[in-house]
Amino acid sequence: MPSSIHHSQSVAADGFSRGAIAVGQQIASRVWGYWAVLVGAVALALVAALVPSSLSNTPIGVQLGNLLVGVLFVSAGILGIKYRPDSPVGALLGLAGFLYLVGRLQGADPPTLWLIAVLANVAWQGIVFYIVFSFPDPRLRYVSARVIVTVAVAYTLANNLFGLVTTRIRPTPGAGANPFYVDLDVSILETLRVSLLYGGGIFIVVATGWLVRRWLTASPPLRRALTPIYLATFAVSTVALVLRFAVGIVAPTTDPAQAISIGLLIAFGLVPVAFLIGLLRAHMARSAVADLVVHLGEVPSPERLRQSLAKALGDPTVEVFRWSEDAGYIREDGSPASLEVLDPGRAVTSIETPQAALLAVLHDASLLNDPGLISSVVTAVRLTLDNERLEARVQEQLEEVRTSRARITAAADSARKKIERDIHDGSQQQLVAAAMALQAAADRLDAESDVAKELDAVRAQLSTAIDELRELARGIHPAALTERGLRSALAALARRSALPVQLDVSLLTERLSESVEAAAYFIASEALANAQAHSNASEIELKVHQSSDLLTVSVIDNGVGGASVDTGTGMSGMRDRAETAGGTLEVRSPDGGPTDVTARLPLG
Amino acid sequence: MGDSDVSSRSSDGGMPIRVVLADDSVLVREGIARLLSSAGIEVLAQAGEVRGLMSALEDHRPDVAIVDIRMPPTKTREGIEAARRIQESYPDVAVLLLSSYMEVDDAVDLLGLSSGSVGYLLKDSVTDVDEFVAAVRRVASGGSAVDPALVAELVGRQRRRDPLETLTPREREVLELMAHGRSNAGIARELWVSEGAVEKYVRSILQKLDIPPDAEANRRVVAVLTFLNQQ
Repeated sequence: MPSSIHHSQSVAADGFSRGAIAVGQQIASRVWGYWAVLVGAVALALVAALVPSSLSNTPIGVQLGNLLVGVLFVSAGILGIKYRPDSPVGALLGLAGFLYLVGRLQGADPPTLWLIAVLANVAWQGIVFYIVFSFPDPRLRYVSARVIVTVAVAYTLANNLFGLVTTRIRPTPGAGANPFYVDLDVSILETLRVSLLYGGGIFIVVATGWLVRRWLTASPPLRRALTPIYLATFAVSTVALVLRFAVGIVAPTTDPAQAISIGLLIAFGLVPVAFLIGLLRAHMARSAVADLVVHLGEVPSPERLRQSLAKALGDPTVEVFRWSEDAGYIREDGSPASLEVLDPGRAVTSIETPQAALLAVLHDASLLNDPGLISSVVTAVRLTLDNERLEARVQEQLEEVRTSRARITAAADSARKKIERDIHDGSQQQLVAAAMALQAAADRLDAESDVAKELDAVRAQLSTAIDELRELARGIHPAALTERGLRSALAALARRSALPVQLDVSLLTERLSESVEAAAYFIASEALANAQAHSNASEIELKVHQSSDLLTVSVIDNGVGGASVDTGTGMSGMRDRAETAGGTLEVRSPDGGPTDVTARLPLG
Repeated sequence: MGDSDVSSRSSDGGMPIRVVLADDSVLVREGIARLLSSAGIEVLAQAGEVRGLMSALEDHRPDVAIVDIRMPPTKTREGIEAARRIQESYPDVAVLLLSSYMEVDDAVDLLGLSSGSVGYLLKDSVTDVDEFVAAVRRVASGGSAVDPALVAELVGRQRRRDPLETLTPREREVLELMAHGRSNAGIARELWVSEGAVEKYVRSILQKLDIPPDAEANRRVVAVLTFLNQQ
């Protein structure tokens, strides 16, 4: 039994699903394989029935029963492979079935067949031992179990070889002497027989003790899976034990011996059925993990997570510690939790990804005996929590990107505003002053002189430059937008449009935040420019509607339509602008028009 | 347009027009002052910001305050606010606002402040001395002055059903001059027609545009601008 209390799991998350997909792809081709195997088993059973062997002496019912046990093993094996492709138990059961059937050829002619039958008999029993002592793991995990299985196989081999070499006449009717017969001294023979008899008894007691202990320390879900397997094993060993001692007392051909051998047969028949049940129950314990994944689908509350884990692990005492960057592992109430476990009956499994610790689960130490269950649960929880963590991070990054985009736009707006002010307060003033100086100079001259005329021409040029500069400043950032607000700025936009603009800003009731006003203005400005440039419209409607939480800006033209956000950078620029302000841009522009560009911007 | 409305205080023998000047750009301020002086207008004081302007007004009680809209501290709309205060405290002082950019709403607000004499000009218009001096004289004599560029923008605006289309070209000319703030006499001189003819045009225009008739020139400017600014 493992004694480790600390327990860390790190299962490759993708290994799981990849395996599942591969299994799924193989299932279709396997169905035919199953039938072939089953037909093969039945054929082998028929051959075994026809080949004269020691069984020929026994009643026909027992003979058929024997063959049925073999077919049962094979059938259970097929079902095991079908429903638990991840477990070797199905394949082992199927193999045991074939070996069982081969093993029925004891005493058969030629004698070589008999030897093969004896070895097959040892082999199938060895497989059964292996399954019993390794279940539900694919390998013998414990040294004690390896010792027991080795001893069991050795004992079975010895027992069968003893039977082979001590049989003088082959039991098959009409067969001759047994070529493997060894003429041993009676006293040695008796010593060997008694040793094997009592050795077998002692072995069964020790092995049973091991199994009882394993059962008692198993986790509840594992226990449910082990129970049918162990019960069948006890039934077989009990009957076998009774048979061994009974054969020593009563003659093999007597009715009590017959009854016991029928009992053994029934017990053998139970073995594959019980193994299959155990195998499927272990599968159901895995299904609880699937349920866990479903339950964890949404971000679970700590209590919900605890309950789901308790259910999946079959351990109502489960405690869950969450990882906190600041405080390490913490309990549900926020108090710090230590992963040092003092109670030997408890164990901690921590769930982490290479990037981050997620969760620690304090659970019954017996669960460590079911590493498959633990690793499934760990994987499920880790996937869910990691997903949650990643989602939170993506959200966080998205939020960062949103705010930085808003910052960039705000910075660009304020840069535009600054340029506009610099033009008005700097260059424009300088030019105006220069024009006045020219005027003053011209005044001192004779108005009809050439110089005066030239100066006047320069002054006129300056005046034009000043006009153009003012227009430039307005295009960069209209001062009215900052100083008088969206309403005035849109009115100016409408006034200066080359197409008639029906302006409806009556539902724009107050000044809004700078960013919303800027977004609304530049979207309207771009939409108007687009309509004038491309729509072939004769008039445009510019509507602004302000509600308590939304500003809607619509630019509708009666032009040819066919505009789209995906065509041209203007539209996508408008959409970017709307989205930066946390809003949306909708463009409805069927071919033939009209075109409706509507931005919805959240307020506040 | 070389004319100016005749003023009781104009240079024809009466007292010269007295102004105070507020603009935060020394260069522009000095330029304007020199320009006005050479046109025979007396510049009593100059100020770089509103407080200096208000104390100059208190000290000198000029005929006209010429005020830049953008002045410290925020350089946005200080001039508009100053105009409001001047109208309240010194209703006799005409206010001529100079704006770096065209804002119709500012002009309409300003003209609607009172029936007092006010003007709204783009700062660039000072480079056309005759026009500028005429505007100063007009507001000094109780009239109004609206920048022609602003009127042009309002009149030139594209309209779906343009009520201005009902006007004859002559009426349109008269309307624009009304919007500039000219009196009937001023318009008559400008167009070389009799004042009686102008009155006829004005009545016709107001009727066609459905503007309530108002003999008072300043209120008429506001009514015309408001009409032109309608959506």
